[in-house]
Amino acid sequence: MPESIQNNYCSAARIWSVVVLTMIGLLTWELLCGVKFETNILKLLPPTEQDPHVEKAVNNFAEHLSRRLVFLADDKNAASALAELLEATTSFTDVQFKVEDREDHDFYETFFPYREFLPGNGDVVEQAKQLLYSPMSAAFSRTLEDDPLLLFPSFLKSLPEPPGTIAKTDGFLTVQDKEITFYVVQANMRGSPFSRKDQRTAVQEANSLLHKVYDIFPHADILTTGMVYFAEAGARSAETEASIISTGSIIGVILLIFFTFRSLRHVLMSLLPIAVGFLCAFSISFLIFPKVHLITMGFGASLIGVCIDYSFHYFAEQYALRGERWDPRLALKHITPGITLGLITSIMGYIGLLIAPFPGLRQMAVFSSVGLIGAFGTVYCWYPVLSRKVVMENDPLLLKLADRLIKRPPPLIIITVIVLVTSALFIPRIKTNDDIRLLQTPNHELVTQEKRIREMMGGVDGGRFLVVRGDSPEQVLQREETLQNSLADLKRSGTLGYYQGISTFIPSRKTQKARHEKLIKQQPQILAYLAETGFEQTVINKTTQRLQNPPSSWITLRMLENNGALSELRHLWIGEQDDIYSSIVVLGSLEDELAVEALESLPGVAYVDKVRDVSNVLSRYRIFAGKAVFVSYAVIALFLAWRYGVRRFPQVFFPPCMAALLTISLLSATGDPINIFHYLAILLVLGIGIDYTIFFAESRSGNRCIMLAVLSSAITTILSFGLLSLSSTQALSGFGKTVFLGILFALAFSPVAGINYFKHDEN
Amino acid sequence: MNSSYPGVTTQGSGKLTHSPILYLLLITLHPLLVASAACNESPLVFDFPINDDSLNAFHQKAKNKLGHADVLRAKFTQHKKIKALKRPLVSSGSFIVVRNHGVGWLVEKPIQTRFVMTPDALIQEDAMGKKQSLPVDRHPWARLIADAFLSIYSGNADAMDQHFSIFYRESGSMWFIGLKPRDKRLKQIFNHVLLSGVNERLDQVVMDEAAGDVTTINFSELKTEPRELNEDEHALFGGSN
Repeated sequence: MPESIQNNYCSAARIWSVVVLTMIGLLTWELLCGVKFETNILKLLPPTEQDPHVEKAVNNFAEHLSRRLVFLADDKNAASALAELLEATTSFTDVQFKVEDREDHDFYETFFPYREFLPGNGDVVEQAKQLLYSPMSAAFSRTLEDDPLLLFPSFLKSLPEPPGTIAKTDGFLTVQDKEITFYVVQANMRGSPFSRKDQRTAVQEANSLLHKVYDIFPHADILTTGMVYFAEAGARSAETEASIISTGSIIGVILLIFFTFRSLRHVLMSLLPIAVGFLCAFSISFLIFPKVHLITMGFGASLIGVCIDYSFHYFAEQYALRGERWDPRLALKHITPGITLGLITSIMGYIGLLIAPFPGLRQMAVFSSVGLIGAFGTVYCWYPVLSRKVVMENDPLLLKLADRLIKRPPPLIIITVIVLVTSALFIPRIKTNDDIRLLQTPNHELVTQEKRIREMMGGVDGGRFLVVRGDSPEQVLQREETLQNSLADLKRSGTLGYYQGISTFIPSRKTQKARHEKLIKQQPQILAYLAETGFEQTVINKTTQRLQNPPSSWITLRMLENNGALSELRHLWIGEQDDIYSSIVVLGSLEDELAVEALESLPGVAYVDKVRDVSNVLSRYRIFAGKAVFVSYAVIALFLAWRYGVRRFPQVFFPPCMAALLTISLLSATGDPINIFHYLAILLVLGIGIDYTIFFAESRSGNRCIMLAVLSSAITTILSFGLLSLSSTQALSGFGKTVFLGILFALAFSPVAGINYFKHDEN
Repeated sequence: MNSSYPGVTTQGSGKLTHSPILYLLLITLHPLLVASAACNESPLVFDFPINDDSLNAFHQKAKNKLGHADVLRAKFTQHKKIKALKRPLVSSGSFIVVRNHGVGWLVEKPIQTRFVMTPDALIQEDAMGKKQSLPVDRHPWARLIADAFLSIYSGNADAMDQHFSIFYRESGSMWFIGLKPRDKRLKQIFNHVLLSGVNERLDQVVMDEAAGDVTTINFSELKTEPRELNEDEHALFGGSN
């Protein structure tokens, strides 16, 4: 071998070493700076189709809700102990348990001075009389001198009832579940519920507090819910799955290599591209994306099965070039066209994912592509330097199997006919499902508890609400008042159980003005009422005087700040973003979604249904992914047709294509609803499956060792994705199952590419 | 007291429909007696507190003495002396207690307005029949007052005990029950409440209010028959089954 070529290989190895060292440096730096993992499922998805202001309001509100934890204890003392413990921790803040007397007083202090502006129901004199003769009047008699028209109590009376069974009992917030009264303790977690570290601390702390409470009150029943529990459970299960998939795959790879090549060196060498692949994948992903999603990692773990492919091809060459003829560089030369084309087509498959503005998919595409490039580089640059001549004496079991597989490859025509018939039968029956639950890791216990708590608390749904926008706070309040009138109608008709918006407490200036003007207009009736009831002259004088000279300021949104009585309402006012103001109206026990959605016809009103919006996104991208599959297949088909010519092209392209069709038909036949992730898996099946046929087509050293390499590759891929198909996240499990089946068929059909029909013709 | 009786407070808030001892103290009224001289003697009753031990005896006594009726109807006249008013506010109407359902307070004069207090709600109905549910929970005052009234008028000793310290005295055939609010917020409303009657009937409720006002309610024309509610009365409690 000429010296210069030898040097070429050494310099390639050196360059690659520099690349790998750079990647190590980059990853170290990133780790030192602190890498962040995302666990919020919604962050995987593209933004919903909502107006950007609505989207912002939604995020703002979601952020408020996501930090909240709710505890319900059926024992007041247990609840009280829990509240104290929560108060003492650093993980939680804004602990709410006792309804402070001060809160009622604050409420009175806030609104009483503005009583002439407060909206009330119906005629003022009629209302006043009714309250005066009610058995409740003792509660207002203190203020009667200042408020003989009972404007403040009328306002209180006009306020909506709290949702569900929420009540204030003996100064505590309670809810009712049949016979049992639960005391409500609420707290916000300090960090982000989607930060892995914060969520872990919060959940652990909450659980240990609950244990402490149970130690003292063993008979207490405490229910709890909060976004953080779900986020933590999801993240935990993604982590577990990622480690199961990676450990399983690695063990599979090691066993396979060891039994096929019977050398420890091979095992170590085969782990190298995997390690470098992951090194590159992580360092580049952390560089490009501010946070890497845990689901990306779960998906990425299955990359192991693909990264190893290049090594298999390299090693398999040993059986082609036995004994003296074997040379690492020659082996590399033989496989280079095959694995290069394989890499290109795999990356083409992943690029299909990149096109969609789907953050999660982009991450998976970048992670996988970079990982593959890393593995490829390692095999290409390092293997020739690392490997030693090996003498293979016996054919390993896998090679015997490979021999058998290529002896009688299935005829392409028969495969095509069978697959097309199956497809014609089952593909038209495809069912689809775009529910967001695809992405969630179900946790039965958490779900039941959340449902029970939500029912008790009036079914207020953090995922369904209305957003009101306007150019000024006043416009938002006015629009919200119009909206609330319509909501009141819906509530009367039973469509809606509950709604709450800020304008109930902070009326628009227009409404305040109108209320005052109406009082002035009714002055004669008011005076008559005051006289006939027998109010003292001083009271009458004071009342008329106040009607003529109302307070000089209005009830404004500024009152929300630093006001204990209104703290619960603060999150309903989103405030200003780019000169647009917005507020949120929450809904409870919504029976007819369409009726509320119809309110979008009101100016500035948007209805948000997070579940529906996400499902719409998933459905839109499912259709998009379906098209992307066609486009990718078409592009790859053109590429292959250019490379192999029209005559040889079907042999290379049809096997993976048929494998994909057969997989979809089978999924449809088993009744699995198809979602976007199945289509993405089909893209991957093509990307990987086409490698197998390309290797055959590019073969320089006989089908035997290609079949051995393909067989080994397929086994590890099938193992990796088979493990992924066991994921408890439906999206991942569907993905894994599809790749599993697809690769199984691609493997079975791939020897077709090795038949040399045309040599016969030529002979 | 709440801490020593977690079981009682869990039932809490005068949820009569679920209370194990229902309407123990359902006070039966007689149509014969109208007014009484209770006012003069009333403060004396506060020298005779009922402690937790004798509360049971009080329950027992009440049970033996009063039995229970499912429905109780009466007329009432209410005099309310309010500081801001030159003359007392007088109203009259009828009053109905339905076991397991609640209390109806139907003002007929000088305006027509009806109140229904149930364990879960406080509903006001004006002369036009328009119903309005008062958000008792929005304002703890309202909740407390509703509870307090419900306990007083329905004679639920448990609920009474939850909100008030109870005093009891007999003088010949006359009896007095004095109630002093336990809760800070109720204290802001009442100084004390005095119930009085002869034998087995309640004649008068006097509420001494913290604002300096005094409300006196006299009951008359008690009936425990018919035991069934008429259609109108059914409608009154319609929402609280």
